[in-house]
Parts: sequence; C-alpha cells; structure tokens
Amino acid sequence: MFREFLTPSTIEEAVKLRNSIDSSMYLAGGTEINSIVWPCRSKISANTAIYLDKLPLKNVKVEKTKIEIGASVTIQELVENKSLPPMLLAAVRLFANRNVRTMGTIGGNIGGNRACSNIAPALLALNTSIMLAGKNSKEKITLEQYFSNHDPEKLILSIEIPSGWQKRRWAVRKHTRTANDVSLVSAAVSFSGTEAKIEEPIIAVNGVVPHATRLYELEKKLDGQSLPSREAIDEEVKKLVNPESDLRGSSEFKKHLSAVLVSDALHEAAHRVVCR
Amino acid sequence: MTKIIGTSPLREDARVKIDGAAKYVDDLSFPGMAYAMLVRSPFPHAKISEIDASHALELPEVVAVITAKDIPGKNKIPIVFDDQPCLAEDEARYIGEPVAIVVANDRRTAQIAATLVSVKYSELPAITDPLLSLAEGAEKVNPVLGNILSRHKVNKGDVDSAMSIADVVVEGEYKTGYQEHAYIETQGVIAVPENEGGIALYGSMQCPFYIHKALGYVLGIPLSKLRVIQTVTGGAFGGKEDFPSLPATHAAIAAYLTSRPVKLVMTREEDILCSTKRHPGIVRIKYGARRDGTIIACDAEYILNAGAWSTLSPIVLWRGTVHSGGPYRIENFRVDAKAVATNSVPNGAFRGFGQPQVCFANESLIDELAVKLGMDPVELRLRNALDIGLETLTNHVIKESCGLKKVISLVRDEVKWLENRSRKERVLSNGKYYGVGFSAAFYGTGLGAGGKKIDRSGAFLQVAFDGSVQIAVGTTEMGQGHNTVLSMIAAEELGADVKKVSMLPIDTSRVPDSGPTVASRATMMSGQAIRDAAKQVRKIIHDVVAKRLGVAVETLEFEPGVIFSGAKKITFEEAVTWCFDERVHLAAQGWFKAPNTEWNSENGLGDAYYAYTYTAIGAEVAVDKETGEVEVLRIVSGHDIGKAINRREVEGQIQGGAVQGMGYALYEDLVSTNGKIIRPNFSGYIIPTAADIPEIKPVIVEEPYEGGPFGAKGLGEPPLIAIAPAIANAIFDAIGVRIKKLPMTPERILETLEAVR
Repeated sequence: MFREFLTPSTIEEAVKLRNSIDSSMYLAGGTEINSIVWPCRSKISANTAIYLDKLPLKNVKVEKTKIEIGASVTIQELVENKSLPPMLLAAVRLFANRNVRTMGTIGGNIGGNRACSNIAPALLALNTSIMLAGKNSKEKITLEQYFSNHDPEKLILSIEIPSGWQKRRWAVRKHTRTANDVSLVSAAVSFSGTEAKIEEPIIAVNGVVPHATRLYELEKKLDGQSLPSREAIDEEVKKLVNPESDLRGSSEFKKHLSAVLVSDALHEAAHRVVCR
Repeated sequence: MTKIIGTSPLREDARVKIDGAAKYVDDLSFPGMAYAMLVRSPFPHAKISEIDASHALELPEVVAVITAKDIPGKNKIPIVFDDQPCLAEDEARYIGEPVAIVVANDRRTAQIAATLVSVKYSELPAITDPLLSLAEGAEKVNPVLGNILSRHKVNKGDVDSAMSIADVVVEGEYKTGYQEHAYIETQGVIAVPENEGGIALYGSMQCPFYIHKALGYVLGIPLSKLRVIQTVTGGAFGGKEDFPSLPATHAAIAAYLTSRPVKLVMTREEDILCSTKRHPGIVRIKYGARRDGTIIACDAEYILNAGAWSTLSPIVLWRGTVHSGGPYRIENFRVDAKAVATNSVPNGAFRGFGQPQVCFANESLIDELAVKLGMDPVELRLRNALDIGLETLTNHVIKESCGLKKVISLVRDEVKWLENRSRKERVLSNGKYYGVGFSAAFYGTGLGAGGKKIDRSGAFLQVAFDGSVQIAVGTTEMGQGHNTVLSMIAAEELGADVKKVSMLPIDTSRVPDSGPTVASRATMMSGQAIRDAAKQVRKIIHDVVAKRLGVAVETLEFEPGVIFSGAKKITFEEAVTWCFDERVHLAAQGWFKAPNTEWNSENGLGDAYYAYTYTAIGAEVAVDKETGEVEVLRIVSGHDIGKAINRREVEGQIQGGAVQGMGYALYEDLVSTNGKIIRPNFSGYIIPTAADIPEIKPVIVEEPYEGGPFGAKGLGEPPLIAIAPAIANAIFDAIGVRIKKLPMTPERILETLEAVR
C-alpha cells in the first residue's frame, strides 16, 4: 500500500525520485499497480507512488516514417485514434472494457510486462521500439529487448512504430474466459508477401512464457515459404512453447491454445487484403 | 379486471441507486464509531491453545480484542441447528473461521492489529473432500452433528422392480462446483449502542429477523431491546440470508462491550474467502423408461459439500432432494441425499437453493435418455411433464396452476426447436459449431413443508390524510423490485394511486415479522398479507363513502384513485378526507399463512410445497472445437409464474437469472485447495460481463394460483435453475460430447473432446 504520493513535473525529477527512493513505483493509470500492490496478495511492497500525470507523455505523433505514442496515452485514446495501424487498433479494442481502457495507459501495459497483455504481441508484430529514461541516460531499444530484460526502474517515455506496417498482412487473437477478462493466451502475426510466399514474418505470443515473446524459429521457417497447413503450424508452435500450469489453465491447454491462435492468425492474415 | 397489476411502473428505488444518492452501509457513520476486523483461522482444522492480544493492544488506536470467552450470551449462531459458534473457541474448523474480533478507532489500525493478535494453533488433520468425510472411520468434522449434517430420503413405489423391467436405462454422475454470489456490495454492518443497554444493528441483509434472533443469542438480552435496520442492500442472491448473522453478531458484541458504534464491512477478498456459497454437489442419477418414452423409475443419490457447519444446508438439501427427478410424473422414485461436513468454508443459501445442482444432472440425463430412445428431447419432456391431476415426485397431486406443458411448447416454438435442431449446416461462418439445447424444471414456491413454521407474513397498512399510503412489511428490497411490486398490489387492492404508496424502511421494531425474503416467496406471502390489510382499510373507506353518497356499499366500484356508484363519483383522496372527518382509523394489520402441507418425513412423501413455478429453457450456442470456447447465442427463458404483477420486473428477473445461470454453467470456477480458496477476487473468479450477454427472450405464462396475490407464484430463483443443463445439452447438440461437470470451461470441453477422439 502506498504511504507517499509524489507528483514530479519533469522526466528528470521522476527518474531521480524513482532511483533514490527504495520501494517506489511509477504510477500512471493505476490499473496494473492496483492489481499488484493490493495488500492481501502483494509480493511487492511499494510505499511510494511516483505519479506521472504532469509529465509530457501524452502525445501521439504520426509521421511519414514512424508513429510515436507517449507512454501516458490511454488505451481508450488509442482505440479512438483512426490514424494508428489497424493491427494496433484491433488489439486495443480487444483489451478489457472501456472503463479499464480509459484508466490504463500504453506505458503501464508495457511496463507491467505481464503475460496477460494482448497488446504486447501486437506491438512486437509491429516491430515497435521503446524509449526509456534511466538513472543517467535515455535509450531506445526494441520492445523485445525490453520485455526480455525488464527493468522497472526505467521510465517508459514512448513507443515508436516504424513505417512499413502499411504493406504487411496482420491478425491478432486472444483467448479469454469472458469478453472482459484478461487474456490467457494471445497472439499477433504480421508479414509481407502473400499466402504463396511469406516474407519477413513476425509471430508473437503472450501467456506462454512470463512475458510477450516472438517465435523466431517459426519466423525463420516460414520466411520465403508458402503458408503451411494449420496442423503443421500447430505442431511447430507446440514445439516452441512450454507454458506453466496455473489456476487459469494447464500447460497443455495453453500450449494448445497458442498453437490454435497462431495458426488462426496466420491464416487470417494470409487472406487479409492489405488496405494501406 | 385489474388496472395496475400486469403493468410496468418504474422502480421507486431506481433513481437514487443510479445517481449515487442511495446510502449503503459503508456510507453511514455514527459519532464515535470504531471499526472491527476479524482474526481468522489460517488452517482448515487446528486446535487453539492460546490467544495473545498483548501486541495488538499496545497500539494506541486499538480499543479492544474480543475472544469467545468475552461473549456475553451464547457462543452460537441460530440458523437450523445451533452448531456454529460466533467465534471459534477450542478448535478452528475451516480457513477463515472467526477467532477474535479486533476493534480500533480506524479501519487501517484494526487491519494491522488483527495481524498482531498471536493465536497458538496446533494443526489437526483436515477433511476437505465430502467423499472422504463419508468414509468409514473418518475423523469427526462437525463436533455437534457428525459428518452427515443432514440426510433426506424419498421412497416412492418400487424403484428396483421398475428399473428391471424398463426398456431403456440411463445413468450418470454429475458434478457441480462452488458458486460465489458476487453481489455488488460486500457484507457489512454497523452496531450502535442504544439507551437502556440495547443495540441497533444496521446492515446489508435479506432477513432482518434472523439477525434479530442471533443478536439475542449472543448478547443474552431480550429481543425487545434489540432492533435490526436494513440499509439499502446492493444485491444478495441468498448470500445475505443466513451469513449476515455472523458479522452482525461480531459487530454487536463489539458495540455492546465497548459501548461504541462499531462498523464491520468485509473486503471483497475476505467476503469470497469467508462467506457462504453455493454448495458443490455430486449427483448420481438413473432413469428407467418404456420404449414409448414413459419414465417409470428414477433413482438418485445427492451429496452436498456443506463445509464445517450446517448453516442452511439441511433445507438446501431438502429442496434439492424433492426436486431431484425433475418436473415429471414418475411412478417409482427414490433419492438418498446427504449434506456432508468438511473442513472448508460453510456453504449456505444461493438463488436456486440446492436445485441447480440436481437440475443440471437430471436435465442432462433426460437428454441422454432421449438419445437412447431415439426420441426428440422436447417430446420426451412433454410426454412425462407434470399436469393437473398428476402427482409430483413426492406424490403431491397438482390441482391447479400447472402451465408446464404450455411453457415447454411456447419455448420450443420461440427457440425454433424443430427447425434449428434439424439444421443440416452446423458449422457457422466463423468455424464454430451450432447447437440448440432444452431443459425444464419446477420450483416449489415458498418454504413448503421444510420451513412450514415460518412460512407466514405480516403487513401493516395505513392511509395518511393526503391519501398517500404507507406499508410496513418485514420482507426486504435487495435489488429485486420487491417494494415496487408490493406497492402495486396495495394500490390495486385499495384503489389508491400507486405513486402515492410507500414502503417503510425495514426496522424490526417497526415492521411485522413477515418471514425471510427467500424461496421466491415475498411477492406471494407479503403480497397476500398486504391484500388482507388493504381489503380491511378499503372496507372502512367504502362504508364511509357509501354513507355519505347515500348508496348501498355493495353498489360501490373502484379503480385506482376513484370510487364510484353509478354516476356518483369521488376521488380516493376525497374519500380519505371524509374518513378523517368521521374519525375512523384508516389502518389495518394484514396476515397471511401459507397453505397447509401434508408431509411424511419417514418416506419423504406428501405435499412438499403448495404451488410450483414451471420453467422451460431453450439455449442456442456456438462452440469452437479448437479452443473449447462456448458462445451463448440466445436464451429463451419461459416460466409459468401464475401472474406477472410487474411485467418489466419479471423480465428483469428472467434476464438476470439467465446471466447468473450462464456464469454457473460456463465461467465461475472457484478453486479450492485443501480448504483454501485460491485467488479470491474477480481477476481469479470470473463472472459474466455485459459483453457476454446474448439475447435473452422471456416467455411468461400465467396459469393463476388461487393462493397467490392476483394469481402470482414465485419467480426470483427459477430463471437461474435450468440454464446450465440447457447449455450443456446445446453443447452436446453442437459437438456431440456430454460435459458432466460445472463449470463447462473451454479446457474441460477440450479434455472431454479429446477423451472421445
């Protein structure tokens, strides 16, 4: 439970506070933090909230070569922004419900680095980079690197989606118990080319390892090839993921779902008309 | 011809609940109020050797730490049997069982102090599986009643002989899980000391008089010094029937001992961990039938996991027992039912009250019987359906108000059964498999033979000078539209304007004991009591009006707001003014006693209830064979309720029940390991959300019951009961596999599909 609530007015101040106060956390929309610092089940003790509301992280810039989205842009603002890639729009529309989307921010969703985010695989499939502010410097790394070497002390400033998505086929999928439940397994795919020849595929899943990840081996196998049958894709995906069993589903079930979602997404993407 | 009954006036409580003006218990505060938190057992079974509160008491804001030895009266909660303690004394018998009450000046300190109370436990072997509890030589779980807390049997005819000559026999074992009530407002109470040593208890509840009795037990003071006031209640569904007595007694003891108002409001997690739930059930059932589809025998075994204490389990079990074969005439019927003690959280009342478990089993098996007979499942149900002149499972001969065949037929038509069932194209454009399923049920309205002694209701009605009407009843509004419906009944019977009828807030010192608001009984029982009072007052008014108009009282007619005799006509308000001029008392007490039932507890035969609501459900689903996901496309929910007093409210009950039934069927999976509920919150316990709700088409059949107000029977619970089997039957129709365990999660469906591959 938070006992101290700080509202820095600059990025530098926020980073300094985060690095100087033990047991502090960045706070944006609050939907992620609410679920992890609740006193009855928390394994994380956070005494100080560093509230990001005053920081200039709320812009969306659409340029010819890239789209830059500030970390404090809410998920609902993304839903309503028609200039964003349709793939991202599809993923954010599938995310929770309007109440949660209105509170939750894209930075918070990424920073939570959780297996239940269905937005994370879509961002991976869009080749997204992330801008971070650390103790001494700012840096830009791939989202994949961020997820793999997650450092919650670094402040997410923005994400950057490079152009090129306009020419790629795509699809997103998620499995949930109810429409508003967090996803158990989610998947996103994008590639250039056609069903007859897949080029530069990106295949991302979440819910099968602790964070969203790309299935590089499958991407390599598919690159330059025609789209395999669903059964063949299923088999390959099952070889690549080894999820843990938990209360929401067994390892076998999650493995099965990831295979079904990836093969569904690839087949849907192959038949999608490239619209931009 | 009624003028108000059957219409849909707006809910009188809707606006304040929507705009936030309604005051729920946690919105209330009293001068000097302290806060209580419970110290709860972390073990499913443990000996308590010492409770050391010294560290907690060192905190300056802590007021008191109360243990069992401090209870001024009996350490017992009265429900059916008095086996459950208010605070565990020597042994704790489930995880979350209250051990001590911590009282502090603020809620946070109370929370911290509760963690500082040191309880010395010695862990003892725990039994959390009801089948292990039933095993020979099992450790005794419940020290008062043993491991079988309650047992009911019905023995009709000769089941074994009938089974032996049956052309077709089917049998199966079905399992159902916990269901959490998931009311919007968690459990909460405030106890306030009053003059002369009394206590006023405010809280969120269904049954204030249950709590009234419980307070008398634990405080050891006369009930006349105690009053219970219901605050605006944010949903209950049975969860605020028996359980609130426990937190109410905790707060009351704390207030009594500290002489301060004490608030106790449970967090969501505490509520899910420690409050009662729907009993997990195991049902083994067997039907024997002739080739023509006539069911000649039913043999059932019903086991409920009751948890550590008996609460309402004996009555829950009884209702399930007498309904366990379904709404059919079956000459030979046998059931053996047991409520079994385990070292887990006690289960209690929940909408449907022991019936959803058996209904899932019998209505699934009826479909299996239809498959084996090569018969249409709806045809099979119609062939065996109860009707006037036929007897129920317990030999109750139905003499009136039986619309089962009509409701089955209407639902069959509305769901386009024949067309959809024979669809050739089963794979939908999204690759999912289409299926349609059916189920039927009956529901004994009221408490019936099982609760005969408290199945009565009182009402007080008085008319004010301006023609407005005030009513006091002891049944409660908890979100179901109770007050609106009863106001309509009063207005219709009295001839008053429904907008001028108000229900008094519930305070046990000011309203009559109308029995509990349970068993879908309030409209029927309190409605009849109000009619009784209204008739008396109407007679007083009409006598005065007839005298003043100079006409015979028999010539008077009335409609809401107007009294007339031929061309002579006055308003209700004018008539009231005349009555005040004449100094007559415009008030009356009404009383209604449920019709008598004959019941033989030896063989379980007789009139289990006096009237029944009849139900048929049609469900259309789309099943994804790859992921196991089930999408409910449409539900047709039909009920013979005698009379729809308020049509919109009836539709609301039907739709709400269908959604809660969908949750039970598909989503709600409360995982418990060794008596501990895992992830007690709404991120772990998944309930249906608005986006999951399909079109729900209500079908209302009105076969009037003479004993109900304007012919009405009960409706609160039936809309939930038969949803799960209709969905299970639709899943079978879609993908050809029979799911025998609730909830029917995607993983469970895939496992079953895999098993038959």
